[in-house]
Amino acid sequence: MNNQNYYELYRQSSIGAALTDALDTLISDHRISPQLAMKILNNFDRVIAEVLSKNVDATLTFKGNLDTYRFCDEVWTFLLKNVKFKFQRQQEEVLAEKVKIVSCSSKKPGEV
Amino acid sequence: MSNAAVGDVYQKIINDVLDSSGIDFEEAGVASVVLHELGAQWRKKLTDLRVATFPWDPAPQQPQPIPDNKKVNNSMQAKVKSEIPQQLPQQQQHMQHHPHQLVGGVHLKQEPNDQDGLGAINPNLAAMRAAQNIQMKYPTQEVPSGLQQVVAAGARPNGARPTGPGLMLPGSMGQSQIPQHDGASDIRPIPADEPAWRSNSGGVISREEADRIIERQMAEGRGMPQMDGPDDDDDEEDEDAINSDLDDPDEDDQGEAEDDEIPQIMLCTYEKVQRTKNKWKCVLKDGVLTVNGREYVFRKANGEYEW
Repeated sequence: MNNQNYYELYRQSSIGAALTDALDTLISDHRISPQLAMKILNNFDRVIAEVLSKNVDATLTFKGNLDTYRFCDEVWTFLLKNVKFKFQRQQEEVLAEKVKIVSCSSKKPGEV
Repeated sequence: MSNAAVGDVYQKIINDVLDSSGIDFEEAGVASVVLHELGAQWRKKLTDLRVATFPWDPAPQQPQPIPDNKKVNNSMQAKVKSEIPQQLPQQQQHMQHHPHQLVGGVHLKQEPNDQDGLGAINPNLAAMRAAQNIQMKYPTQEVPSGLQQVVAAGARPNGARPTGPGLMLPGSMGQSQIPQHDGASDIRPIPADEPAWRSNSGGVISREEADRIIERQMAEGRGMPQMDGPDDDDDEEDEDAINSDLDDPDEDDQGEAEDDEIPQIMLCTYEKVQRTKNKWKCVLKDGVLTVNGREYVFRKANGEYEW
């Protein structure tokens, strides 16, 4: 399990940023070493990928105008404008003026 | 689903990460109490973001206006920056007429060693250093009342008593009266833009000389150094520049530039991305979506958009 690589993509999500902040505080207080923090972040990379694929069953559809697209190093980046998100099984609709999508291949890095 | 599910999903992520990190903490020889603290901090920071309602929150959306450090720093810097221009002339005048301030029965000599006067315009710094000096001396040395005591603001790492032009202390000086020297000031310690003020603390110059140095620098119109990064005036958009869409400034607004705001961003993996002419279709998986300050998670998302 641990020898598989996971994306660091989700570190920039709010839960990832919160973890990084908390780790930074502990490092600057000399409570933990940066090496230990890196291990925790690696654990986070693995756990969030697993939980999102196994413990979430929500699906959503969205429509919008594509402002910018980019495909580089197997990473798609889309900049959408006037996006309408629709969550299935409920009427909720969310409108957003702008949304940036950063998306890595669903094939895990290292997987062929 | 979606937003309501976020709390439970994040709870699980946090618990799983903490569980699997226990062994790493053990290997690193770090007490497990630190791991618990990490978890508490992590949850608290998420709560502060208010992107969703979390199971560990005591009450839904309780008011908890804890500003994050970045914001405080930014506003402090802005404040310092804006206050300095008005404060400088006052401070200078103040120095000329009242070089020795009497607070709490203690004469505090103004920073005499600052060649460029940066320390001298910074009462907090002087106060801090004086307090340090006093702390260094008093525990070990009895000070006979009536002794001439110089509280020099120059940093003397070995705690040696400064011998420069000194100040008379009133005999009734009390040790407990020291900390507050010169009233409130919002100016924080300002890192010098030249190392002289730190390195030459051994040399002693008279306060007249120090005043002259400050006056000279004021006359030269030497402003305060900008301490908070480059000029943040918005760059003009140059229509003639070679801008591709990749350089689209809009893109920078999307959370990369604005740390303070919660970005509008979807992080996910893609299964399929297709394009027919200007119509795009994509199938995304395992995503975290943050829009309008709310967080959503999804296992699968279908997107259609036109370019």
